[in-house]
Amino acid sequence: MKFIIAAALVALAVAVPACGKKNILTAPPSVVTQQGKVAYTADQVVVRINELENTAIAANNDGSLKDDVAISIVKFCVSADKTAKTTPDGLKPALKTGWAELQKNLVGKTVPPTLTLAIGALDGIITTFTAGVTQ
Amino acid sequence: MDPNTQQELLIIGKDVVENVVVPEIMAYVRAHQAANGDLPTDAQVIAALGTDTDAGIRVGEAFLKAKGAI
Repeated sequence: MKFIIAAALVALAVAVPACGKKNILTAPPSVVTQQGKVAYTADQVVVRINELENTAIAANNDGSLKDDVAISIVKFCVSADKTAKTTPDGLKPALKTGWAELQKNLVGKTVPPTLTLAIGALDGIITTFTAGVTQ
Repeated sequence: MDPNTQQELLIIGKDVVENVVVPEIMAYVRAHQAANGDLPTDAQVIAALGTDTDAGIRVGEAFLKAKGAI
């Protein structure tokens, strides 16, 4: 009887955290060092930045995105990747500034729906990632 | 089951789970998941960051070079 109660409580202890809302920026429990946690979060952002970069290049290749817009997006992506590679801790403030500048540059520009989706997805991630960072 | 026994079992169960079973089980579960690739290790996420940033830089700079933007 004691074993059954203990086993049931163990099962609950293991299952309950898995039922919580998953935040893609939060490192899994297998990542234990501070360096690993920073790298995990930065990588999640980098993956989405690279998706934006690839979408912009593809849209430019098929003629649906003008060169000047594609270039400003790709420059932002390369700059963010370089910061994430050299100083993952510096990614938050760099993104806060860089993303705001890019969004200003995109005002009034024509972008295809695929890019609008990629920008919207990345905006949500960056907003969460840079929350609390002051410019 | 009489209430006293029930209460005693709950106290014992809580004590066992908090002090013995959960830390041991969770450590095992995490090690197992990491070892089987279900969850990444520190080394893996640090390596992934390097690989992913390199890929983004390589693709982006090739595009910018082709457009004469760098």
